[in-house]
Amino acid sequence: MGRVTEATTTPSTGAHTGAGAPGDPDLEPVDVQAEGARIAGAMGTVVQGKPDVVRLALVVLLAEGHLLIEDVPGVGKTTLAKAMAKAVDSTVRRIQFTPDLLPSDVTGVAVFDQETRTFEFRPGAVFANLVVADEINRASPKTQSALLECMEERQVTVDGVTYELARPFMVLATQNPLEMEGTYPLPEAQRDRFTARVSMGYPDRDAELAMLDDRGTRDPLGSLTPVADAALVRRMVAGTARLHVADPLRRYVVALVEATRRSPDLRLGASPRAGLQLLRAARAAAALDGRDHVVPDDVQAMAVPVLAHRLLLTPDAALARRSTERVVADVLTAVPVPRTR
Amino acid sequence: MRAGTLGTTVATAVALLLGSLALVPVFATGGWAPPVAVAVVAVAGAGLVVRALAGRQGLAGSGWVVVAVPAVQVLALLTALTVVFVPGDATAGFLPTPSSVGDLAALLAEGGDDVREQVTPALPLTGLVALVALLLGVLALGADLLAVAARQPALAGLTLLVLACIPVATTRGDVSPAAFLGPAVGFAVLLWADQRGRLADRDRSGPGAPLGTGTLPALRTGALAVLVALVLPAFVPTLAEGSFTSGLGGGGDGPGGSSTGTALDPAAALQGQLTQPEPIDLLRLETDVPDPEYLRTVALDEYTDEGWGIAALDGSLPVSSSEALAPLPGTVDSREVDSRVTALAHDDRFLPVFASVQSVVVDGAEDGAWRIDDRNDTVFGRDGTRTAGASWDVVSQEARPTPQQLAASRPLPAADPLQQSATALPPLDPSVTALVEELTGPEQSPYQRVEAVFGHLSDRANGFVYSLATTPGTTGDDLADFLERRRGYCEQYAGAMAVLVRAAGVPARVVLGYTPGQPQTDGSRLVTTADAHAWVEVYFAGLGWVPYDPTPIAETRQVDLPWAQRADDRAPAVPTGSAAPTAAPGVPTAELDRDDQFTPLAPGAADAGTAWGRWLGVGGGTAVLLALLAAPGLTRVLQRRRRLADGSPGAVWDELLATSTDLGLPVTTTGSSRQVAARLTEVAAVDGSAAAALRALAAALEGAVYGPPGDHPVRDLSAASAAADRALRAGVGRRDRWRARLAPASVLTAVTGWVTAHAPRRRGTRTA
Repeated sequence: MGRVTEATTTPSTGAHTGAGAPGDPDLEPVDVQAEGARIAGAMGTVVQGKPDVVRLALVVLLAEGHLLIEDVPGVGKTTLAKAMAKAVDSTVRRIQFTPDLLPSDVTGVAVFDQETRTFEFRPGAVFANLVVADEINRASPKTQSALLECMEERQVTVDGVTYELARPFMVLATQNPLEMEGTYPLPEAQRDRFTARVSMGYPDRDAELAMLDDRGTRDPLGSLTPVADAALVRRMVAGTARLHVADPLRRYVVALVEATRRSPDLRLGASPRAGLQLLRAARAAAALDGRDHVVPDDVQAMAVPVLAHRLLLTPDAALARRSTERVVADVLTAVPVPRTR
Repeated sequence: MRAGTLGTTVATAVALLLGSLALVPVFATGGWAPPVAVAVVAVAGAGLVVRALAGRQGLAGSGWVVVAVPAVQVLALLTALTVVFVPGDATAGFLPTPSSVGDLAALLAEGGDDVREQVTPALPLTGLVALVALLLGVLALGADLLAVAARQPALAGLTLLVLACIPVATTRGDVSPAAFLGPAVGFAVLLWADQRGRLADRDRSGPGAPLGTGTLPALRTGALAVLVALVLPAFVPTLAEGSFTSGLGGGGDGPGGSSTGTALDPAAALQGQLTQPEPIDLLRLETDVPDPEYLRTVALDEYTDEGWGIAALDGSLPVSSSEALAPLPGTVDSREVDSRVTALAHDDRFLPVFASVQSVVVDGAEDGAWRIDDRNDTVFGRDGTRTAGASWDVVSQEARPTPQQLAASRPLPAADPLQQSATALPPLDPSVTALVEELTGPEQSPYQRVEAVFGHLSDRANGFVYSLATTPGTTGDDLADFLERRRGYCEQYAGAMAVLVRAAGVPARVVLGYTPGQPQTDGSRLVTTADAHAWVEVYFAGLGWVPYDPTPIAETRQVDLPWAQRADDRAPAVPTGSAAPTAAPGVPTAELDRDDQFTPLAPGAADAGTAWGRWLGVGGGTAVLLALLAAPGLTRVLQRRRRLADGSPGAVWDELLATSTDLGLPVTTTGSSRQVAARLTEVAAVDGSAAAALRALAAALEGAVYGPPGDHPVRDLSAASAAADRALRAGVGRRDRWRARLAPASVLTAVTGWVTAHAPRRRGTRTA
């Protein structure tokens, strides 16, 4: 059976649900930027030398999406997830996916209480603000599906009773692309559920040296103090959602998504959901820059992480060693930026 | 009004006035200058007033001004021309009325005639001056548009170029450097204004910009321009000095001391060009026949390497000596023609008379003063006796041979002195002899041979074209040139036919003289310089000298020679009675075929007769060419001005992109504005402040296009735009900058893009 670990630093009586307390104003973009910078700064003390990855994780958080971290073992996938969980003072669950992990372990199960002679719902691992799904490809497709359903619908239904999930709710799933034996890699169609995919990549030499120094003596995660809480994140999310997206930009996003569908290198182009999430991610990126409107650069910066993992290369393109990242980059250089209202 | 506008307007007007100095060599006197100055000042003044008013109303720079200024300037020009030229019909002496405009138009049309008819240096006749004043006014308008409205004073120098072209195109001989000096100094003034305007733009101190700012660079460039102006004329291919001096009465000295330019130099070579001055009345002719033939002056009976000339005139026979001076053979049909000729402006030693003179009585002439060479059939004065002021009665016997008589004529014996002298030829170009062999054969009768040659030259189907501007040939043989190029005027047609006929073994000579002129209301005929002509006489045994005219002259001037019908007149497909054979449709034949003057033919002799015609041709052509060449640059200038005046982030950004494209800097349509700014910063290696300006422009565009709707703080982007523009231009080479100015890629790409988009698709057609 897989391990489900409670990893919050503060005891939690349950996941935060619902919107923030009434009267809490949405954050202005500049405040989102400031808070985002604080969170990123805190995470940066743990995930060293990877500001882009940290930023992308924050973007996904503000876009109310989920992050797929795909990389070789030992580059800090889990650390990233943990760092975010720690920096944002909220409920965090970590699920180590194994082949024998059951869907009920993820969603929760109704248990018959002998004393009260009623069924009592025991929440599963998804009832948290941040869910770290480690090595998601090791679980059986059935369990994976259960998680993916929760991710999409943000609610759990057990025995006819629907339970709302927390807000914010973000799954940070890690996947090891190398180890194939005994794994069930996420079908490409399922990856569509993730807002963005990120590769950690190896740290550069200095960061690696510094890490060797630090980690020898202490665990930096231990000294990471939270700089935000769920309520603040909710307000950031709400502030992000209010950002202005001009018509030309909507057209631009649609044009980009359409272009992937026409690309001769792709067997499967981007879905409408991809476009939606691209725009959300762009909005979050703009908010983290402190702007009250989205600019084409936001869209372009998010296009590869948001779109690349959803696309399927044609066999020819795969043989030609093209990558979906490359295809998206090509699309970006081919589609003109709309410059008029 | 913008601070620099006043200065630029004045500088432009001054430059144009200086440029108009180029017209000094074009005119004989200075009477043209005041009206021209008035026109230029009127246009400049109107511009100043309208812009000043607009500035006071706070409308400066608005589109309204752009339209209103030229409109008012046109009105001002019209008014100025009205005041100067047709004040009588105008209300209060200056307000144009329909009738005054009509008069002005008529005057300008007159000026157009002057342009055609006058030869430089021209007399400043009213119509011509009006036309020139209009031209200067229009140039001033254009220069004002460029210099003040488009803020490109340097480009307004194009108008000066037009002015500088006028003396080059119209005067003969070396163009005096002074003609270039005026435009060059004017250009220096424009450059100064340009420099001053740019510097004033740079530090926005407005009126505080010192008046001397930019003087030094402008002086430097101006001095260079003046230097070039002094050196350039030495290399400009000008019309070489010709002997034709003036077609105007009393204008200059013709050859042989003739003051009218009407003396025909008998030593006519083939290569040459006719002049075409304003026709001068030469002779009054009264005859007793309605259709007289040509008035002969002299026959050219000797053909050498130098061309046709007079062998020698036998002066032993005074005209008073005999009743039948040059008798005709009795076997030919003929008619007697009695005529009285009065010399008007004619002044020559040869007396124009009809062929086969029987008697000549010159009023009041000393006995023996006029002699006749009966062989040449030429009457000439001895010891300086000339035709000036003379009147003379002539009785002549015109040969009117029938075709039957001609066909029956046998060749002269080879030993006959006339046969020998009148068929003598130097060695001819092989192409000429080949042509003769092709056209004629030894078995043919003389008449058949002459007919063959005449038919070849007079058949329009062979491509012979009447052209006063004969291009000098390259083969070294004028005759072969003419026969190959098939372009020429009477002298060459006649010369060629006479040579060909001689080569065919039939005696022939070239005759100079006049067509018999136009009938006047009083029954007499008036012979003018436009009637000067050359034709051929062929000798037929038993019939005497018979005239042939191979030149396709205007029908009104043609003389009816029944035995020598032009081949193209005989052809049924060619309608007769229409324009003369060589007249282009719609062109008055009289203009084309004025065949008035022979010149002794210095190679490349001046084509002074068509000089004024070129006035429009070269000047207009140059202007059109310049306009075409300048069109992309001007479009760009106007576009730039419009965008900068707009000042919106989008317009300013478009301008930045266009500038970058023009300069050859990379810009993409798929990059976002900040990417473009970053890329430009990188490739143009601009400094920090310029990079900041680029970023500011990009951010402004972002805010305008993608920002939330609502109130935007209106930011003045002109400073950032100017800084970015300067930095980009400084980042590329001089050549790129000039290319950007003269051939802006942004405009050209747009044009080619449009053309490609609208071009008809080429379809592959496959034929079986």
